Amino acid sequence: MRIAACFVAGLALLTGCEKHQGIAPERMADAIFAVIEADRANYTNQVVNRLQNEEKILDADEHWQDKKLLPLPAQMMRMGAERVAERNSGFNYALLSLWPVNKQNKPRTEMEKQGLQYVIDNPGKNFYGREKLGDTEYFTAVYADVGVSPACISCHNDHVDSPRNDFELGQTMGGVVIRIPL
Amino acid sequence: MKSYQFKFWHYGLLLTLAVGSLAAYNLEVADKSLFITGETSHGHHQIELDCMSCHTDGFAGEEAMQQSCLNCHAEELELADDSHPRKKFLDPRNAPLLETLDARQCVSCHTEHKPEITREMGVSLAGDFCFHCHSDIAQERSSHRDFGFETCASAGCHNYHDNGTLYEDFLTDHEGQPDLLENAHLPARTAMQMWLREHPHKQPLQPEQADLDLNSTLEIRTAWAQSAHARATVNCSQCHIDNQQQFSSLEVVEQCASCHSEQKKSFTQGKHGMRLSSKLSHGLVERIGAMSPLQARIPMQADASGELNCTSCHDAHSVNVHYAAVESCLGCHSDEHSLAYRDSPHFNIWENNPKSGPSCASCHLPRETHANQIVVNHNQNHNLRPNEKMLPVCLNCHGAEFSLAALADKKLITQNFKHKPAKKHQTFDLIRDRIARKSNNKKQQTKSQ
Repeated sequence: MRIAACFVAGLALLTGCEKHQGIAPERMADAIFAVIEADRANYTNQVVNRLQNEEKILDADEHWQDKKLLPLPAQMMRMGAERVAERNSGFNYALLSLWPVNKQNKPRTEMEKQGLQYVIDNPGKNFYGREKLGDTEYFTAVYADVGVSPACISCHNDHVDSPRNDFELGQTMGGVVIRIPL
Repeated sequence: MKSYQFKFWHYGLLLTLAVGSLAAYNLEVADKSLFITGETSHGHHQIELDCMSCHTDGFAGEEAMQQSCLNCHAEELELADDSHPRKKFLDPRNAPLLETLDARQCVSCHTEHKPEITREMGVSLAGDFCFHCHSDIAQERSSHRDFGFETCASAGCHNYHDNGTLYEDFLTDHEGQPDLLENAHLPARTAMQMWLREHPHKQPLQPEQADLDLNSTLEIRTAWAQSAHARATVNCSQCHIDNQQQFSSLEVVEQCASCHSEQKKSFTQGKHGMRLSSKLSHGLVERIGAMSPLQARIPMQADASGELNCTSCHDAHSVNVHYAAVESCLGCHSDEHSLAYRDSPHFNIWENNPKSGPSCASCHLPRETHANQIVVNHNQNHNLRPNEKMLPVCLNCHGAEFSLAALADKKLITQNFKHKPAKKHQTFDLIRDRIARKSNNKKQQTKSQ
């Protein structure tokens, strides 16, 4: 009986230790999002909105290299995501929307569609799930992407390719999808 | 003496040894030509005997092969702001697409040694490859509903890598331009002007000031004294270091590059100078020689010979850019396009105005701005891959719609632009529709406010 008790206690201890090893995917995804969101909000407000809308010094434009202008906030984020992917950093992220200007940024997997709808229906909450893409299983998290600046709203409402033109400040316009391979 | 009795397997053994020795000799000592599995594309045949440049040691795997492609092409892909870079396909959502077409690897689309399936731009896939990822384009752009997927990369619409002058905003900005611009002119080269500004008191060197008297004739001295080199006080000994008189092609290019490094860089990226590139295996050019017109796959003049280096086009002593811009080209090339140049309106303008008229070099060795200087890109293939990349050159003198229509007209290209293009380019009809849609969109928004 004592042997059995020792065995159960040891197993519980080991299981407990295992739980504290590494970082849970959900916690990791939340941390990554915090960095992405902070950088994105700062770039949008402190660079694009200030230079383009307030001080009217330099516009942001999709073809920023040719026109010698600022990259759009969404482009900045996509460039970051591509750089992270190239470095094989152990996670991937993307900015998607149910109403994307660039149709390549619409949801493609069932989980993306589900997650984007969830963050619209549940303001302040995040979506977490698991999905298999190719041979790899991913922990997938979706975070609401809120229009933080008039620059976001006016660009999306005015663009000829935008499927929606009634966005308002503070509204969820899409979502940041973070994937961590398991 | 007893004669040796050969058995059947002895003959087999001797034959195997003979074939093996021949193959080993060809692989290790000779030019490896026995091991070429099929003709390479027009872009690589100059260097096909340098197997290691692409295959490395042959066992290094696909990542090493990919790196080989990038060793030569990464910079131009970056310059072109590649529309389909590898990094775009690392999104896990692309996993199902990559099972069909692995766009992360150059060799997925550009398989070498397959002449029977290799098409323009060295693409060895069927022409409708865009379908694999863009099958839903008709839903995204109703204007594209009636186009076949084999037409995406038609001249003047889309390119897989380089869409630098084909994106919507660019075409919108250039819509409605006249066929011939009012202020039509090529940008002037700046190197000599800059040097004169920086050295206002330097006088041109005279024939008698030549600092070397090897076997130089009066003709050579006169040519040099009238050259840009003498104007910039570059004397004989600056090229003929240690009295050297005979130079290999590699030595010529290295010598010129001591002052003209940017020109060497672009020259060794093109078909003319590729074999002289420092990116190829050490000793290759000594083994197989620099490229020669006789080895070209397009028609050349029967008497065109010698190796291609800087002095093939620019005479070593006169370094004549005017001669190099037309006469040097036509001295070798004899394809229909080249032969038709002298009957073209471009040639008429060139004859009357050699300083800024359109020569062969104006189009194929374009003058580009680098760090506020206008320099000649000596990679004559750069803006031919595909030929819509020549658009910036045409735009110096012509409107975009006229230029794109001309570049899409294969017959007109063969005739060296003897006439105006036969028909307009459809891209601009789509752009005009698009401009109208944007305008309507604005009006509707204004009304609703």
